[in-house]
Amino acid sequence: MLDQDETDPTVERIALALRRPVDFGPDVDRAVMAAIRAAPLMVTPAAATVHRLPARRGAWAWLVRPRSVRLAVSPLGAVAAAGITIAALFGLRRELASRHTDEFRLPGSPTGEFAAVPAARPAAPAHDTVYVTRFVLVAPAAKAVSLVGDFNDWDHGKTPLMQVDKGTGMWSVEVPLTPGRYSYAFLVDGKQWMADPAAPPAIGDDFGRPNSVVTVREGMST
Amino acid sequence: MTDAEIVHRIMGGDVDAYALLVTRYRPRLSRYALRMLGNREDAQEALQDAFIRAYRAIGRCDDPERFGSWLFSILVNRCRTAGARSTRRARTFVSDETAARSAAEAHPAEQAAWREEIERALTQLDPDQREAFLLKHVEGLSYEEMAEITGAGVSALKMRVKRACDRLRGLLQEAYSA
Repeated sequence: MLDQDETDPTVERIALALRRPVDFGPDVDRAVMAAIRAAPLMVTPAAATVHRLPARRGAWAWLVRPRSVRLAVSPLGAVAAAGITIAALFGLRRELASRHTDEFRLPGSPTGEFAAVPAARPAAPAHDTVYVTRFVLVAPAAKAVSLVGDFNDWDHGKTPLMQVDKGTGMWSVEVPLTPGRYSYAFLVDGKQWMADPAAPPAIGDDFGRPNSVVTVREGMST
Repeated sequence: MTDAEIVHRIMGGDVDAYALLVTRYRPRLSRYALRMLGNREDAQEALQDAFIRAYRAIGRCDDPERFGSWLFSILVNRCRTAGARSTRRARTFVSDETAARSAAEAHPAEQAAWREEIERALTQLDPDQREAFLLKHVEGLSYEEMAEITGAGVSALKMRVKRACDRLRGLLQEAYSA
């Protein structure tokens, strides 16, 4: 019987000894809270969750200046859609990011394709350089695609991709990121979780789903 | 305040509310991390890492009422990663000083020796067996809960627990007969 150990007095004595309380104390609290305060969640207030990509496109095109584009193509045999990902990094120098902070602060103002960016506060401290990363997926059969990752709390409602070309089935979204390493994935039609076929896989994900990694480096594409 | 209420506050931008969850779950998670890794430094690192990862991924906590269980699964994974890493270096055996008295051991010296032997024996188990034993007999989880956290099947988990019990009994018997 596999369950007989549950009533074995020796096992119970062992377990009793191991149940002694252990507590690393408030140092843990302080370290954890310091780490998360340094980079709080990017929370989008309800009033700013309207997505009006076309209306913002002109302003954003003026705001950013493309520096480099990475393009890779790979078929997705297992799913209905075929994917291509482009990560295009645009450098926004600190002066520029600071200068246009109000773009993100307008109460109730739509954040357009940058739903991952808080409307009430900038995505990163003003002294950091922000790099706009473009995520592109070619999925002709998809009806909706969203981007989930470390940068948007893995919330599939925060960063939808917009279909930029119905002919090719290309979906795209641009996300401002500070330098760092981010795990991400695509969610197709709200149910198909997809790693980026053209990016390195994330190793050791806690949740058993295939993810990809994008690394934004200081000085990239500037 | 319930876990779900705190999670909703955090999602609403209240960063400080997360401290309530850290304080609430720190003792239980500290114990598991230390017992699993057998090393205070690694355990504390895994614990902090788990809390920070949980915060970053809190949007993925599908059921905020069960935040504790979800957090625990993250810690279990962090301990697996840390355990794999630490096998490459010498293990420091830690006997913490916050032990509660065990009714089974009358003499303090015997009690300390018994605890030490148990902890030493625990470090000699395969990581899978140690994990299963701790989740079942120390944390008091059901096999269904363990399956949800570890991703292993119930039958496999029962087998791991049984082997862990057999091995612990053998190691302790060996230690005391020597």
